[in-house]
Amino acid sequence: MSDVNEMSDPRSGTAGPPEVEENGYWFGVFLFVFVVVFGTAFAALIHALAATFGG
Amino acid sequence: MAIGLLENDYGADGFRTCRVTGLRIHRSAEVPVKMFGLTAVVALIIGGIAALLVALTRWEAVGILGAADFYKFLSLHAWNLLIFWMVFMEIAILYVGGPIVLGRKLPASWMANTGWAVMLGSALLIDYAIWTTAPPDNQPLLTSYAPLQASPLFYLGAIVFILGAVIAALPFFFCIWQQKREEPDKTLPLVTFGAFITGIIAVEALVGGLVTYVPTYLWRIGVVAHIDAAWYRHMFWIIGHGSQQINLAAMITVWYFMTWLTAGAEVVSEKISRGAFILYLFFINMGAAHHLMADPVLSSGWKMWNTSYAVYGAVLASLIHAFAIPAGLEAGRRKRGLGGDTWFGWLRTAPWHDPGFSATAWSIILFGFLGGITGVLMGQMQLNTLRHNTLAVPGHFHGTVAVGTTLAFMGLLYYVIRLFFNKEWVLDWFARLQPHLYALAMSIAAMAMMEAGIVYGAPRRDPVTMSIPGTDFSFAAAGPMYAIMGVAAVLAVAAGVIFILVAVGSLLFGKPARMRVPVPLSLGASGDRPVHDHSMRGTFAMVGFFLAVMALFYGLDWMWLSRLWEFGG
Repeated sequence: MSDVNEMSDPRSGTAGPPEVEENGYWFGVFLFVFVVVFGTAFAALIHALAATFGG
Repeated sequence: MAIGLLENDYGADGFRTCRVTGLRIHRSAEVPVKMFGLTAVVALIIGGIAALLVALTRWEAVGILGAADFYKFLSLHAWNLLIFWMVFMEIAILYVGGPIVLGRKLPASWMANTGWAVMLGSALLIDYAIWTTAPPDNQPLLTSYAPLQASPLFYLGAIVFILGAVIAALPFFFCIWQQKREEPDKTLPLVTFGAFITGIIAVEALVGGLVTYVPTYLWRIGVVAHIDAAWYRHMFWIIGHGSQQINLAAMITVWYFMTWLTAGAEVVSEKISRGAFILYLFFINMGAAHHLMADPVLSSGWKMWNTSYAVYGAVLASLIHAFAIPAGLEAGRRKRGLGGDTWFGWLRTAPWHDPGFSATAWSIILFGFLGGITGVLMGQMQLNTLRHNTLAVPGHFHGTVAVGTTLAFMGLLYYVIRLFFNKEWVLDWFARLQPHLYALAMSIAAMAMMEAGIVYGAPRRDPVTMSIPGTDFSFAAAGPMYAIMGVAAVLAVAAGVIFILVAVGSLLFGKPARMRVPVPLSLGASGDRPVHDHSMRGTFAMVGFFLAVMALFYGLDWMWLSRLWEFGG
């Protein structure tokens, strides 16, 4: 199964029936990366505050 | 083979119709887009190799390069990625935003070819000058601050490269002029308008570059006896930071284009988005002033006007785009019935499997949080002190250019391969993974730089800081941050290698493209409700989070500033 829609010329009125497929597990990949990146940012913030007030 | 890649099936009038976008594309515009795009990828390869060596040196536990080689590769890294990769792509974006979106020929296309050849030749000259630099000449890095002298070939190359870029940009302006002359009452499409503003900002920066480099070259070859160092610093940043403002405007133009092409976004308010571009036109270059905040030559009044007043015109513009683009994505997808009526269904169902979309989305998110917030903080006169000349500055511009702009341009190139070269992506799964991996790795590398700079005051540009020879001064405490930066940078380079393999492999071995996009552009395009009538509550929530983070770090920076030692105390 194709992961995206094949289509003919959308301006000509001959486009196939609109069918939007799922993005599979890639939204999960996005979420994972988002959590790691923002978790790292939060850890960096805590580290910076600890360095500021800890000594 | 190379010539074949530049061809397509054009009609007798030189036009073809893109079966995905419906755009009428003339050969005179499409061929230069391919040429400039391919050349940009070559610059990305050279700059990426240099990036790996620079990162493995600043990860001092590895320390792969000695000081002389470090500055050579740092200069190659800066010029190939900050300038050549960006400017070649930006000329391509002008041609996409101009003649291709407008469905016109590219006027004076010989100038596009000439500009490309001049830019390519001068880029090679600059790389040669950097590679062969030997004492008493110094490596230029990006700034080539006078009176430190670089190779005369370097200054000559910079001048010729700027002239080449101006020549290459002229056909775009001719195209806009023809369009407005033939249809004076017809508004330019938003993407064309954004490209037009990008072009004006580019000309401003390029003229500033000529004003800077021509006298400096004359000084370097002995025609002029003296060059004022303060004058040079002031003039240089017209091009030095101006070139990065071209990146910003081009990147935002790409954001509007790619969210429409890959995910069905629409513009919720043309006037507001155009107004934001106009604010950039007048105020974005004021961001350059933050490079001169510690400069004793410039007056406090000059600094305050630029960084405490004018710069907020640019910040306002960025905040408008930061809302308008995700809002257009949300409302456009709701209008097309994608994702249901939940708060974030439109985002959950977005084409995260498509590298054109995921690269664009990561570019928007990470540019805002990493590059945008730190840029606003650094662009503020007092807070600039906290980061000035520390590794936090490269942390900022790796958030803007290396993460934000590079991801946006990678996303665009995925679709240049598919829609212009008519090639399917090879290594399909890796192509889908690449933007996610690159976003993850490069953003962590940028944050490690920021942390090393702000918490430890680690300096930028120095290959050895953990035990500075001849002194008791040491940044050894920053060692773990250097290690995190190094590991993340290696991963980011690996993601860059995947991009190169996919791009080059697709051109050489890709099957003919099947003309497809994740969301049919015809879907729901003629709904009976205007796009701004659809809910944007998901975007309001996300933008609220963004503003809260921005306010938090604004407050924290003032707190950290208050804890710095007193100047002159």
